[in-house]
Amino acid sequence: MPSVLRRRWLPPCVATLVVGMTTGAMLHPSPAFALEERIQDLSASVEVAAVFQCTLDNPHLAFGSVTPGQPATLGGGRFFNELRCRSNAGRPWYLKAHLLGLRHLDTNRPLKADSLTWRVVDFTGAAEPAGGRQDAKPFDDDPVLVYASQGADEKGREVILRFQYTLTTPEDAPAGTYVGEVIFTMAETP
Amino acid sequence: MKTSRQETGDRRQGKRVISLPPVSCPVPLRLAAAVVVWVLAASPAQAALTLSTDHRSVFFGRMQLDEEKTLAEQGGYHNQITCSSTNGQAWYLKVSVIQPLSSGGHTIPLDAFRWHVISTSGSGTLTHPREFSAFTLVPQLVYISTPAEASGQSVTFQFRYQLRIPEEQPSGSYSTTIRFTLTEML
Repeated sequence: MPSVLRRRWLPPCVATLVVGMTTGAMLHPSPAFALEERIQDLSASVEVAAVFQCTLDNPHLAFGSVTPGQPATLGGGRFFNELRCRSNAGRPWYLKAHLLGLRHLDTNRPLKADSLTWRVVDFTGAAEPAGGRQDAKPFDDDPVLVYASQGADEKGREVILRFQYTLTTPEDAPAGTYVGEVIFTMAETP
Repeated sequence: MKTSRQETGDRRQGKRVISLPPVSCPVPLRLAAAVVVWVLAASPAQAALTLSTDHRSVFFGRMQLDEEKTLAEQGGYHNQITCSSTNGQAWYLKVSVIQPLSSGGHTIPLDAFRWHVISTSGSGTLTHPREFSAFTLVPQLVYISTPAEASGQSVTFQFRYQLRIPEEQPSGSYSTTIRFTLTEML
């Protein structure tokens, strides 16, 4: 009879149910037995722009009237101009300087580049300027090293170099106006 | 099928005998059992913690040195986190980053990257309701639920983010992962 059959078949079905409950509890722990936790991740990003710059606050080295054989200094009291260099490339950089075409304006007679010298009287970088702060260094026709970066200088810290310049014309230099071009170069190559 | 005499013999030998009928259930009964099993297995998943985001990544784009930027373009917030629980006990929302914003060997200091919950639909306690807080590597408490919030209602949190690039920071693409943790442990 059907009703009897159901009673007889009931035990195995109940056994199946018990298995199912156990499995369910293992997959999904009940709060009575375990504290739950959920995690969600989101990505975050930014691109930090590259900076590689060099600015000079006073680019006109005007010595005015000078006496042949007598040195004339710009910025003798403190400094004449300042150069600000900044790089965050994370790589070393170098500041170099050279003097181009120093000559008599009318006759084009050249004056030797080493007639003009530079001296770093103050600076904010992590390294020492080339030659230190005491010695005046002569310009050259080819670039000479003024400063080599170090540490934080390569991570965006601004390096300020303050300069003094001294011009000593030869005693036999003809009177007149002399012009030239001082070029500072900031580069990642020595 | 063993006779009662055979079963008696088994007991004498120390065997455990489970007396289950060897024939399968009738079809209607098996179907009923299967349905009950499914319900039992599925019901704990409904009675649990859930945590979801709107999947809006925290992308600051290109920034200059010493620049500060706030991501809050959607009416004052950037993205929304939704939490719910039916476990009947207090829950906590925490936030952390798995590492500082990093690019190769360079990192942006943790205190430069900050979060702020500008609003929530919950009635529990926001730990930093008024100001930005710096991300940390250790999960930091954002919100403590009320007992009433453990019965299935969704609680939303609207986040905004702020980043200041330090004056001295190497250029590059920096990234990290923000981790939201919904937990029942304080």
